Amino acid sequence: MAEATSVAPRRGALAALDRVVGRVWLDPEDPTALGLLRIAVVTVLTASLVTHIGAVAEYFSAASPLAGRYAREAFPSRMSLFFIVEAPWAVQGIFGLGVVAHLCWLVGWRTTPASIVAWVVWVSMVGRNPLLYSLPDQLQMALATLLLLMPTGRGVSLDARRLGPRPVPVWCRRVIQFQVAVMYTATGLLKHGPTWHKHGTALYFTLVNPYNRHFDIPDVLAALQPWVLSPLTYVVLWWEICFAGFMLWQITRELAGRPRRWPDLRLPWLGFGVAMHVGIQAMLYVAWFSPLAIASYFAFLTPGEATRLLARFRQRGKQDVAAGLPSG
Amino acid sequence: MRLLRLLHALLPTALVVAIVAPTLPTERFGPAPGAIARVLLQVSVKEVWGMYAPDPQRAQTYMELVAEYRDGRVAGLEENDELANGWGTHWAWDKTRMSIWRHYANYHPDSRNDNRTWYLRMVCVREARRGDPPVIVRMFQVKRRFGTPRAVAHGGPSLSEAERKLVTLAYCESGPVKQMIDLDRARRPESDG
Repeated sequence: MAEATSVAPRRGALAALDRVVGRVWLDPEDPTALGLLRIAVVTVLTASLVTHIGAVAEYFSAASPLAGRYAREAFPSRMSLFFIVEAPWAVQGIFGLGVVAHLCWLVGWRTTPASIVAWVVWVSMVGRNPLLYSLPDQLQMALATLLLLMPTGRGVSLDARRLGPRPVPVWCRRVIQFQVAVMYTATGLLKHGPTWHKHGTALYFTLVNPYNRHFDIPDVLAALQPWVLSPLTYVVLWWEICFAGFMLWQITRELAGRPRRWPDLRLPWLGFGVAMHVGIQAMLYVAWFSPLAIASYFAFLTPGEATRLLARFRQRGKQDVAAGLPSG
Repeated sequence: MRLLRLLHALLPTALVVAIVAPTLPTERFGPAPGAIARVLLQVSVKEVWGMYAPDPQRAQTYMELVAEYRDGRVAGLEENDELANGWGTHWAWDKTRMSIWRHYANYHPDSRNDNRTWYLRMVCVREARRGDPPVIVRMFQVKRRFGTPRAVAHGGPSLSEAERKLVTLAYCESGPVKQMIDLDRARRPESDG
């Protein structure tokens, strides 16, 4: 009897733990949201990859002035296929294969092998000369690596059409949410300089930098500084720092069954993020960072929302097609 | 079954650790964050985020390369185009990824910077391929500071006068660089002609 009473609570505790692990990580969900996330992120990765065309041999092959064992010596901490394969035609061939793999990954055809090939090509390019890639490019590698490890082809893909829909674990979206939150919060916490905390001039200095500004309008920006840029500097800073709190709020809300008294903050929070990135993209050259950051927000869609979004998109497509048909 | 679930749960947990750990300060968390970051770096994943941190740039610096040749000629190299045209505006189509490397090569002008060393060696090889290898490449930095918004609002300049400073010399005929050039010639015999 004593044994039975001691075992029962342990079973109960294990079952409870199992349920927590299930709800946080392992419970299955509809794959549509993950599929849409794949499409959004891989579209940007493909566009970014394609912009290398014309410089592939110069950057990554023996045609580069830094090649052979010296390239390896310069970047000893990296792995790259292009340390081994160096002939310009071969490097260009592998790059071409990478473009095809990206397209397959995008439409979800043989998604797993396609994503592996695409990822190897990215690792090889960045590893061959990491100094050609800047801080904003980091997000490309982080998201490509995470998506590689997820069953992203199970939804909104040719694979799904062929094999039928299969659920995905809920951790897939959560890990991407985590990645986005860490990126913002870590950056926000590191912004401890006076332009962010004391003078409120960080956005001004960012926007007047001739290295990557789109518009040479320092007078306008200086006029906007007290009323627009200074307040926005603090808003951006605290939005970034608090992003991890927002993510935890949303996950806890989801785990609690989305009670009414627990407001959903996604629209205002991510809406600000979208507006901020559109503003950055309009004002500055930051490679592919803004589109990629916005694409990553698809991880915050629930499967139900993703399905509705897709249905609306399909409906609209049908209407457009119908409208385009000749009458009579 | 339970073991499988446990193993499955370990994957996202490991990913979260890989995402978070490299951002943690080593002085508080010991060598583990650095070790995880180094593993990730092997596959070119960097999880240290610091855009515009701790402050955005308050000055822009471009490199200026001046080559000295065996016959006594002195000439500026192609890097100087950025110096001449880099103070206006930029769009995606007028940037190349080489500009990012030059940006890294400009870091820490007063101390050792391997990115600069390899950039200048690359320049020596590039110029040798073009048939006219310099003996010395002098690297200068040209810096212009940004005016504060208050100063600009009161009619001050948005960019200061240029400050030019010698950073380093690259000897294209010295041991390691000469070896690079010789090896490059051996690998690409057509470039000699």
